[in-house]
Amino acid sequence: MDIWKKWNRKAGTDVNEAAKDVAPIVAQYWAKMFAALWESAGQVRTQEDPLVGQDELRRYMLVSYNEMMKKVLATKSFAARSGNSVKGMLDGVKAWNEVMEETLRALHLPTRGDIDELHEALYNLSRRVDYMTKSLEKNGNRRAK
Amino acid sequence: MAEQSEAWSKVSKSVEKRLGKSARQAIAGMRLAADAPAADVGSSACEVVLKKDRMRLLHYLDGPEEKNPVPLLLVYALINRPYILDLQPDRSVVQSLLKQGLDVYMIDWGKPKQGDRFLGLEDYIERYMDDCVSKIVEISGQESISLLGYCIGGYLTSVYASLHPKRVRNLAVMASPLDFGIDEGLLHLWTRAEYFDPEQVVEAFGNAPSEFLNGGFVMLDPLGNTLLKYLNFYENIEDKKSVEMFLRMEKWLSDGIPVAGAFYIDLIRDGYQRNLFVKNKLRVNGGKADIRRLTMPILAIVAEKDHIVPPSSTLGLLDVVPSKDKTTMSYPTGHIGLSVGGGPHREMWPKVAGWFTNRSMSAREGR
Repeated sequence: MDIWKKWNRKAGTDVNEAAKDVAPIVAQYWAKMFAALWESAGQVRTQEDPLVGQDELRRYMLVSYNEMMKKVLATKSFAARSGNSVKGMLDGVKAWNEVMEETLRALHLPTRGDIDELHEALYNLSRRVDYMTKSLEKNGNRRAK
Repeated sequence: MAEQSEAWSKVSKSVEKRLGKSARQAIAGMRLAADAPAADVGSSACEVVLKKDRMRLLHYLDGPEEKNPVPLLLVYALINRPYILDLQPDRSVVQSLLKQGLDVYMIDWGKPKQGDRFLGLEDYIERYMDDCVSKIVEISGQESISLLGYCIGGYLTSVYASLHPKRVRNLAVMASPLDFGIDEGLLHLWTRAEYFDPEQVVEAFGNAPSEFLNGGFVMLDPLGNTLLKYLNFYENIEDKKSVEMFLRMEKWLSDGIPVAGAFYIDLIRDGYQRNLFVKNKLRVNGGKADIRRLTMPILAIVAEKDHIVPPSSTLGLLDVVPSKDKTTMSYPTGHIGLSVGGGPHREMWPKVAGWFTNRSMSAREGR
């Protein structure tokens, strides 16, 4: 329980708030499922092909489950939690990048940062050339007219 | 007792039928695994008329000889490949438009590499799109052209049109996120500033990786994009046409491309989080993307079951632009269904082509 609370604190969301958001959605889903099961059980004997009802029920359950998931994903609690998870994952990637950067630097090899600097310089250069070319063409066209 | 045995006989007949079907499906599956049909995509004949960095401008060659004088430029999103608009000959937006006599061009943005992380909205609009429009103007001899933007491509075309209104004769946006201030859609919720910082993604990866983006898209419809999709596929595995379509779609879905880092930040921060364009506050390369300049005819195409871009996000543009010629077309399908669905190709695309043709008549008469 402590771990659960700690994890929730880390995720930056209140577990009670999350439960308040999600519980009604899950309860509604199960209520729908029990109703569908009950209805389907009553129909088995009357159908020419009794398994058709089972196929329909299975599909209905999957589609309803999907709808329930979408509703859960649309809660603010989920958005906050997933935002924090993404941030945690990105922090991990950044930490790994830093380790790589330091290792390469220690080995006197070019790092991603060095290459990015070159890329940025090239980008700025090509951008400048592009706008200069455009401006020259514009002036040329004006003169031709 | 008799009733019970009748029920058992029904069940056994049903099981027998299902076993037969399962056996046939298993055989079809094994055949498919051994000899899968080639999922050819983007098969319409075209030539590359402009190449710049990774971008290519394609000019399509099919269709009647006598074409509409006002060319149409298709602008696809920067996520995934543009051949979704030309997936297979009978489900091709490109072919549907060519058949109606339109002169079609399309931008293939190419796959950004690590060095492209500095490309932002400004670069895509002022350096790439503007060059494409200039090239088409040069080839066609027209002063202005028609634009059709799909998904994020609609955002690009709308911003371009607001910066260069004289060069855009007609503007169409399809399933495009334009009004980001709406209160629906999971992407709009997840990307809110309090939950998500796009700069962190770019800091970590450089570009926004396709796997990262794809993970988000799958979660928009968690079972629909996974289990249900494969169940449907297995159900129809004996139908050659539906298998071919499935393989083409899978090829497209797995052919994701990263989004250039700076553009990703521009889109999420200025678009999803600040909604600057519709608020008429967006600036590109020092110039204002003035929404009041969107006076040309505007067509908004929306998918009623779109879970990626809610229709209200696209239609929100129509509420704020001064154009007097605004048309809406909607179809009961999903985001991708608009471009690959059989229904839209039978019923909607001829109308879309007609919309462009009708609004280009004066150019034909004046030629």
